Amino acid sequence: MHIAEGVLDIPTLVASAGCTAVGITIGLRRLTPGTLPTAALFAAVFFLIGTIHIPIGVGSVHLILNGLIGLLLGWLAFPVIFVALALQALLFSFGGFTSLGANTLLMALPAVIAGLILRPLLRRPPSSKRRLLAVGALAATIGILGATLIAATMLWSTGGETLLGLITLVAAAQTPVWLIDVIVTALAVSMLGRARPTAFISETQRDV
Amino acid sequence: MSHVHHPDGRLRLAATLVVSIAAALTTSLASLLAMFLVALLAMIFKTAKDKVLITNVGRRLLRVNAFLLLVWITSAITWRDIALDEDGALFAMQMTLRVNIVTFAATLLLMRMSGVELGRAAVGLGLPNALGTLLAQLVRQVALLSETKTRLERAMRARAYRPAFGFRSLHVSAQLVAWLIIHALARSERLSLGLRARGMNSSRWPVRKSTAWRSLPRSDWSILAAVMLIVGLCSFLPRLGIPS
Repeated sequence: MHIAEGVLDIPTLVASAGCTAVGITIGLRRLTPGTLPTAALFAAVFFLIGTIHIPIGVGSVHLILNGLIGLLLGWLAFPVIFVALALQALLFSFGGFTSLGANTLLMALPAVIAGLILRPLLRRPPSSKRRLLAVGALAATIGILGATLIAATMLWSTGGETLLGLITLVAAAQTPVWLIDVIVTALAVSMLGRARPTAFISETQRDV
Repeated sequence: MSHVHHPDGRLRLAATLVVSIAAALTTSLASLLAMFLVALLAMIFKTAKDKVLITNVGRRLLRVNAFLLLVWITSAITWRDIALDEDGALFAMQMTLRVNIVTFAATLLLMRMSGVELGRAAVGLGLPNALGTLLAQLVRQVALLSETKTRLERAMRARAYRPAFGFRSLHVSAQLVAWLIIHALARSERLSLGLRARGMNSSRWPVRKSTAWRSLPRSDWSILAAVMLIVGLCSFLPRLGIPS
């Protein structure tokens, strides 16, 4: 889910870039030269997840899994998603540089919310398989629905009623993405929780 | 200046941002159309002899214009009485020109720029060092992890896996994601141990200094100057009495 450059107006771009700057500042406080390799590796995972396609009929959708990134990284999701989207903009022209703030906000804010709400449920391993599946499904729901809601708000603030049809279409197109993300995130969290229960501890604890 | 000289990344990135911001601020159709024509001509001139570049640019244009088609369908037409909505059409036209101008400009100005160069250029323009270093490390880790992903996908294919829409595909994709994260965690632990073993526990970010602004050749500055001149002239068109 990327908003292309030239779509949003200046007030929306400035407001979303401001919110992203706040998120990145909080995220960078948790980033030290010691945690940098972990953050870079998770940014690489987020980047590569975007290249996994699931066929649907004649087309396909790619995974987003921002909820999963939020569960793993918490506030670090902001800088990690920012750099991954910057590289995608450079290499594939997904999104763009002036819309980088907007795209980071719509991916990272729901990720952070999912992390803040759901990570405490995974702090005391071993979690049961049912709990891991439920947490994964909830994280994906918060991630995709949150991103859709933020994208719709940005489009509405740019075009108002003129873009209502487009907003409806974009929201409807996210339904299969949401369903696929729910299943994949739930299964991935369940597998991770059993194979590496420490994967969901906080980023600062992970380094020490 | 090397034999194959690429202009300074900071100036190229700054020029791209100037075009993007100018396009977003411009509402006059005459100005947007003039910018679009200049960008189109520059793109034709640059890609005329490069088939690979034509394919790449074509793919990018196809992707962004597919989204714009949706904007036209949903905003420019009143479907109840199948008529053109003038406000919607104007909005869709402005958006179409803006998106294409920025796509052309970004492709032309950031051509052959690597992720590491982008990080350095962005830090040179004021991005925090930590983000620049993270971007540079990301490029390295993407290269390493994509090898792991290719190996995992090869192993999946060797077990007769073929992606299709169904629970089996979703389950295998989830396994792939989980394996990538487990590999990333294991690699980050090894990296942290290696760094600590070498005594690298400094709290300072490694920074490679960029070339001083004054030392940059004039040819590099001319790119930014040309972009600003063209954008300025195009923005001035409505004041010359050309209808917008």
